[in-house]
Amino acid sequence: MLMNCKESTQLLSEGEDRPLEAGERLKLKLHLLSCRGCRNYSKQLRFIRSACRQLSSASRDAK
Amino acid sequence: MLDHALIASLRPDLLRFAQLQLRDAALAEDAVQDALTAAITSDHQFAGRSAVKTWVFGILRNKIVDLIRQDSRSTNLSALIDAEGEALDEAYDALFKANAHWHPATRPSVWRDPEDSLQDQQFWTVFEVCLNHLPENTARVFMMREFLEFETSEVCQELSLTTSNCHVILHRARNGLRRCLENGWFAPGERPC
Repeated sequence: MLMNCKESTQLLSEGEDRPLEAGERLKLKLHLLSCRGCRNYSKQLRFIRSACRQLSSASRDAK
Repeated sequence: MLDHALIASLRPDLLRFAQLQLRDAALAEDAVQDALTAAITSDHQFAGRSAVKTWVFGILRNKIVDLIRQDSRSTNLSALIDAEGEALDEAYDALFKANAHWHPATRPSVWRDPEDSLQDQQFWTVFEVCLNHLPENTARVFMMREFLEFETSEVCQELSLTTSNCHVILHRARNGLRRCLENGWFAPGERPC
């Protein structure tokens, strides 16, 4: 059963919070192969995380 | 004994960090002052500015967590977050067609040179505006996860939220922030100034 974009974005977010199960990873991978929007979404989430880390580490490390 | 000029130079970053998470200028000011006082009165030996900053930041982080914890005990956080979620969910649903695939007009785009943005002061201004644009309690859960770097299970536990609710809240927050950045910063051809 293929997943839709809504399910995919939800799983992409959960993937930032918990290890996905093998079945979830496979379904997500198959979806991303054929979906440019969700591939971009995935990159955007990764970017947001690195921006947050940079902002919070700016408060920790001397520049 | 710590150098007062050094302590003073740390203040702006700490204040910005506390203000983003607490959304209360007086509360943020108090938390930062407490953290700095603890550093000044400590007889801990620091090896350089970076070590002081790490140490003070650690204290501030604990203070912020305490304040959030206290606040979550006296309010029904879950109900507040549910109420905030309605508008976010509506905006999220509007991105998709009836078959739950992207509308062509709202499909996530390629963000050009995101690494360059991280070096751009203007980007950080937009980023903070977008964070502040997220509803308060939803943002707090998100920042506990992404700024204070708690494990998701710890965030849920501290705030007495169920795991599935936590995932929903974080998903909403990420999407809200993402939409704001997409429209406010990465939208092609809309930065004439």
